[in-house]
Amino acid sequence: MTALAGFGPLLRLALRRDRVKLAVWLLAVVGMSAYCGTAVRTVYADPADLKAVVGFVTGPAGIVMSGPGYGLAEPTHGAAFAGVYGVWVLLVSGIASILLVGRHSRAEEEAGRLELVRAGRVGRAAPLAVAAVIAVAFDALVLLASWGVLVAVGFTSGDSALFAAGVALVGLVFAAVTGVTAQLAEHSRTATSTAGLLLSGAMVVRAAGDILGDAEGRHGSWLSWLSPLAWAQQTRAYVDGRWWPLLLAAGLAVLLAVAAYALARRRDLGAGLVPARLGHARAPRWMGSPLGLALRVERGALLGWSTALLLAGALYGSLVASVESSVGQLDSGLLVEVMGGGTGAAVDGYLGVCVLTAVLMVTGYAVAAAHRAVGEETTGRLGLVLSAAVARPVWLGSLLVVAVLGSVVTLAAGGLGMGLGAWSVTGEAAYVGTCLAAHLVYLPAVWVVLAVAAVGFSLRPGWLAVAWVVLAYAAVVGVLGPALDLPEAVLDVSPFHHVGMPPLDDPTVGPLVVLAALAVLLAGLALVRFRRRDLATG
Amino acid sequence: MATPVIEIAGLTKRFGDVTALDRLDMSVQPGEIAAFLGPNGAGKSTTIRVLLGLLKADAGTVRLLGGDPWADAVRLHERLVYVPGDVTLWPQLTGGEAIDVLHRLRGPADRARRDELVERFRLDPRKKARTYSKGNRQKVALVAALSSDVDLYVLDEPTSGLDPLMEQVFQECVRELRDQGRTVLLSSHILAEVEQLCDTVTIIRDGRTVQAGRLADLRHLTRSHVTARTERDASGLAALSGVHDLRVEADGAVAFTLDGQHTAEVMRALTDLGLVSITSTPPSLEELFLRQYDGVADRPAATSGARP
Repeated sequence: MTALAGFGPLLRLALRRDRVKLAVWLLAVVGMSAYCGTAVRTVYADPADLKAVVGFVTGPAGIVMSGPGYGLAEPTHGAAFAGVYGVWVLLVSGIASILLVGRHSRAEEEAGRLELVRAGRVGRAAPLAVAAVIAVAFDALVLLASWGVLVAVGFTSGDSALFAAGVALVGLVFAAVTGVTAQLAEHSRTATSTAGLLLSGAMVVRAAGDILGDAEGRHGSWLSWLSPLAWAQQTRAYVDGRWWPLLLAAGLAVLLAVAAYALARRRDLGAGLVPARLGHARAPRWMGSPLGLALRVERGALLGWSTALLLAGALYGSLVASVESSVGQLDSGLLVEVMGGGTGAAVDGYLGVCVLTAVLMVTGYAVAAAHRAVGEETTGRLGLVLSAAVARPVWLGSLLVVAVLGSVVTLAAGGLGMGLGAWSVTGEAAYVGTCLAAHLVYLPAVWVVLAVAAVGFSLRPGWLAVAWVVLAYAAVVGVLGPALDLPEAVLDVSPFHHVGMPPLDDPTVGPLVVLAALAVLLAGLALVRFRRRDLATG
Repeated sequence: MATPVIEIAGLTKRFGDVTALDRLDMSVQPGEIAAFLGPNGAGKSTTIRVLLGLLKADAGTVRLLGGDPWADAVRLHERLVYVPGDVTLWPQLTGGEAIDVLHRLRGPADRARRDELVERFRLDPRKKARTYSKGNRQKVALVAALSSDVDLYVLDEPTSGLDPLMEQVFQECVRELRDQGRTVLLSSHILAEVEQLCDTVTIIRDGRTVQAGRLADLRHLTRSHVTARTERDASGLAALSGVHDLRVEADGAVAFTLDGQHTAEVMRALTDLGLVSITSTPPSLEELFLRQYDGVADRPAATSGARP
């Protein structure tokens, strides 16, 4: 098969280049299962403790964050592990596979390395086949290792295999999704972030579907079944296991892989499927400043993310009526205990969790916008700009201003969407203001993460990635913190923790001012420090 | 003499354990077209990046247009333009937009000149930068640079992606700059181009200057190829100092290479032998260049490029 010529050497090359990252990601996915599984079994060894903590994360807010909630009424350790923490293992598995395929397909092509490789005795389909084989092998390892680890922790073998298979197949589906986006987009960043957006979308659709189902007193609804994440959850591992939903995942992965292969055969090397059009021969005046340039470069991503946040917000908001009705069915005594209030508080708690999800997504977007700085520097565009009469702090400052602006616009879009959605189903216009405020009040915390990115970049381009670590930490602590009963000191490290959980909590001005001041201070430090370092060569 | 446009003395730059520049010296006077030569990895781009204030010198003095390239970067950059060897543009922007953006970031530019150069370089300014070839990206940077009204033009291998026709256009443009009394620092591998355009040459190796001066002077310092026909046997010339590689051709003529400073004595000796005809070819820049690197290939240190 000439289309696959050169497969062997390419595979060896890919494994040699990626051996560390593959091991680290495998450890991350399996380690997450091991950690959560162990935590559930040891911290809540007493069934009464288990029931109490699971009660804390059920209800609409818990459903948004975790899933349809099979077996949580009378929780076993296995059901609590799969029902409350399982979805986060699925997400990490999806992210790992997206980055893996992105690295081995479009990134190679964009860097021009693939051109060199394809000029050798290498078939058209070989590079994609290498990416596919690595993804399959990676997810097979995820399956085996997760299974082994969960059995070692003390869970039953059959259900652990089912859960592990779900984790692996979600990874495989999103590996295949990335295989397709890598053919459509010309840049690896676009390919991976589109796949990431689809993963977020799968989470949003699953959450909305499960809320709808809950309102009817069921686990999940037709909407949930549109999300690959739900297929893994619908296996009901550790409750009443069934394998057939995983057939959907396997089928979709195969279908997408075939589509990616068909697309790869049709297009030119280096090109996307969307052809380039002619543009303007002259630049408008506003583009001729560092700020204007940064804005122009960010424009497409900003529009895309704002639209996505608006739609996700609208979906979450439009479920408020369902939340109200499902809360109405619940034992009101439990509600008072858990949420500290009646139906209104339950709705606010639900919205609070939705807002936090949106904020984490927006922070990811803002850090990605700041991440452009690294690309500008390593490609040599920054050298070209600085060789014109542009001061370094002005350039970095412009980039940060655009990222800050992006965070404001996307958060406002999310808040507006959620408010309008809630207004449309309840007829209460006040939701618009409440939801907008609940989103925007997080801004100082988002800016702290951005400022950390700037400080990292000002020391060394690659160190901007510290901001991703901060974000990942904040996400884990913010989402799992209450359920894991983490100490206050651990929570305090996350900037988002100081905002509270609006609209459930009324934000206090003090911490917000401190956060904003911290962001300004860090950004100032970064601007000063960036004047002093050498530029990396392109 | 006016203040030099570029004055570098003892410049040293290290990246970790690798010494990229090792006490490098260079001087460029106003109005000169100065060539900057050296093999790959010799430190040309590193020197240029220090001149642009993108890298900080570890030791030595560097003066650019009378200022400090690190501390006064922005003020100095209003008076210079730069074309990198490997141009990357913003993929979302068209070539025309990129030119305008680069202009406005620097200061006022000549719009009529811009349009004229777009025409002369046969550039389609409406195409997105991601669809441009290397040569076309280079044209964008060249048009932006050459239509700027500045004192110094820093060009780092600007023609490496251009076709011969476009290279011709480039050479015309540089000559126009020379006529206007502008200063150009041209790093290049195309020696024929340097030979035609440049007044002075700085040759570096392993981050150190090995040869610098006016091209004419450098030629004088090196050997010419001489072929002479004499009435009497001229093989005895081999004993004279300054005469190398002498051989007697089949037709009785002698061919040898001659050190420039011994020209007078050798000419007298040839006349005494009854000189019939003589041709003397000055050394090409290529020979100058290759002579500097004779034997360098045996030394691994010289080829280990020092890019940060």
